[in-house]
Amino acid sequence: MPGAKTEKLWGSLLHLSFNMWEDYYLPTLKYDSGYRSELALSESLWYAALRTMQEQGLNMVVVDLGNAILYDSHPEIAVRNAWSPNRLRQELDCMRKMGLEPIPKLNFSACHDAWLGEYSRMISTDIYYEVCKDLIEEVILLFNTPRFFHLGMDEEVAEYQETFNLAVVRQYDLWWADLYFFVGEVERNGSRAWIWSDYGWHHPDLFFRNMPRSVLQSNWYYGSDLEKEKDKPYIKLYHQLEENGYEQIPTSGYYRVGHEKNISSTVQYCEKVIDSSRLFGFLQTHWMITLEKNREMLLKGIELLGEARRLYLK
Amino acid sequence: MANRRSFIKRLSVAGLASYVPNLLLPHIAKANPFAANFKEEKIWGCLLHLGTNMWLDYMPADKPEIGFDPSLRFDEDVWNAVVSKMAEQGMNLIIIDVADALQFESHPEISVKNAWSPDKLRNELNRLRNMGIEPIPKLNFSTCHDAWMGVYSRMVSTNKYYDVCRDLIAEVCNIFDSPRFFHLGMDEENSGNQWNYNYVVVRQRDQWWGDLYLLIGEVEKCGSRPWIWADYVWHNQEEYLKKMPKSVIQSNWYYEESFDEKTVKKEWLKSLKAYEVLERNGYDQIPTGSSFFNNDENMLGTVKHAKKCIADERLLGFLQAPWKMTLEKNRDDIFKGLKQLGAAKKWYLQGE
Repeated sequence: MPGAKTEKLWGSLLHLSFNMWEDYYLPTLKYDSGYRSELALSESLWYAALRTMQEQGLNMVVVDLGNAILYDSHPEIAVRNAWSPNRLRQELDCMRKMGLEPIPKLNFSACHDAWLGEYSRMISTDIYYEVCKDLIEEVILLFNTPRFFHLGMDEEVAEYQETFNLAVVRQYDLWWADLYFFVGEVERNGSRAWIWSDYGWHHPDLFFRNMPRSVLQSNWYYGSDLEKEKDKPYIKLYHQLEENGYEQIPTSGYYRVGHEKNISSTVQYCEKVIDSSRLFGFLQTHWMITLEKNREMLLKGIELLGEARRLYLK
Repeated sequence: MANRRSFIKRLSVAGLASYVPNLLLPHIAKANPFAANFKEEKIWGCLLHLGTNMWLDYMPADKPEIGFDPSLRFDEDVWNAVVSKMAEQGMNLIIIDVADALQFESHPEISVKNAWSPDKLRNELNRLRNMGIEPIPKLNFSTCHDAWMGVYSRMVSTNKYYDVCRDLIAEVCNIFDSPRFFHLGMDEENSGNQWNYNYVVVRQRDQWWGDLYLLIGEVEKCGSRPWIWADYVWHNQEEYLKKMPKSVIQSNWYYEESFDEKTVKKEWLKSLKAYEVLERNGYDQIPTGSSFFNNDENMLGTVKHAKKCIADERLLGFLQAPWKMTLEKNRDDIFKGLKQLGAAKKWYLQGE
């Protein structure tokens, strides 16, 4: 993988589905995170986001698929007006032509799997494993065996599910067994597993004992001052991952005004603490539904990553 | 049951008392079609375990008593001795925590090895009745205590789960011959109480209520009255009082020694106060004490406290919950619990 500055990944997360939080809809939910049973997507904003990524010199887009695809294997979980597999294939080709490598993301964290519908209430059962296996296989096929497959797996704790109707948390060996299952399915189909690393904040010993090095790590921090918070678990993890030889794609987020410096600070900080051979690149997240009301923030977030990239290359 | 009780009470007190000599009242009660199952006296009950898989979904090396065991953990000698002792002490109700210790015809896949056959359970229920002890079933559907449901405990709030719950309630009601009550558990459904589980599930907001209503409906369909642990009220009082049907018997539980609000441990204050909260809001109660916390005073304290703060017509009786598997090693502890309930009953009757 890339050691040279010019070969880094500069990626942006883009939501095709946003059904990754509550299992019901309420307009008053804090992050507009309620479950929508119909595709909620501004295509105009979608294309604008891709164009902006291209203009800013980004080279990767992580597509959060959720249940916005009418999966051949499990059409029952798809929202109304979900994209057909063919439509998705066309859009992926379009991304590739724009110089953007599309990477799929299906978040299997119990905190972010509302998109799995009834199966999100059957976690760690045989039925669940079958469904997950089918979906991973189908998505990898649709993406023409992508280099990476983002499995999510973040924030699987009860505190983050307080507003949900049904909170589910895998703990101890079960979390690991299920992670190994997902990683195995991704690898079996020829891709490399990629996850959010925040499990390591709470269980560093277990994390470094059990986490395979083959799994690409995205630790994330959305504040602005990494130096100031370097003793906090979420910043320390960048160092710990490096010390333990994991490959990383540090992740920033821009979904609140005032956090404009997050991505540039992340790039500067991580460049110092992660050896270039293990620093695969950077990912910007937005955590906003791809609807017109979020146009300004979403495009600005992409531009901020572009600025950080230019600064890095200088 | 509350309606039946008050109906008979009204019938006997207001309607008949002035016309019929007291001597004849028992005969009238016997002739009343409602009276067949009717127990005029207070309930003096004990919870006993046939099934034991209500906590962890695995077997930990250090705490086997809360671990999942795929085989029946049950000693019939201890059981027989305990029920004999209950009869001897004038106890009149036993809650049998059935769980996966029964070979369910509807769902044999969840039964442990050596689970009782339905016939064996039926025979035992008849024996208990003949001893003057009314058997009441308990299936705990709290996600904190449903390891006994096997794979279905990982399908909570799905259609499949609802079907299984329906089947099990109907089958158990049938085996118990439409018992007066059916204990649904429903306690401690929060993540804190599942901190050491592999798989944590918590129904929240309307989901908990929706599922409770489904379970209540299934029990009532079978002609029984639902009975639950009332601890959900501790932390959700306003919602609880708004949404909990009065038809559901409430067993609040408090296992500490002190019943003085000034000296009670802060973390248990809501538990103690719940008795009064439920009374103020008109719920029928069966207060529950326990010998589990190793104090000899709790059961008597529970009876004294309840007698003081719950109106007689809403105080259906008392329950002792030793929380010990029916095994030889626990014989003394279970007996200790019975002794405490016996002493409390004696005090109650003398006090009256």
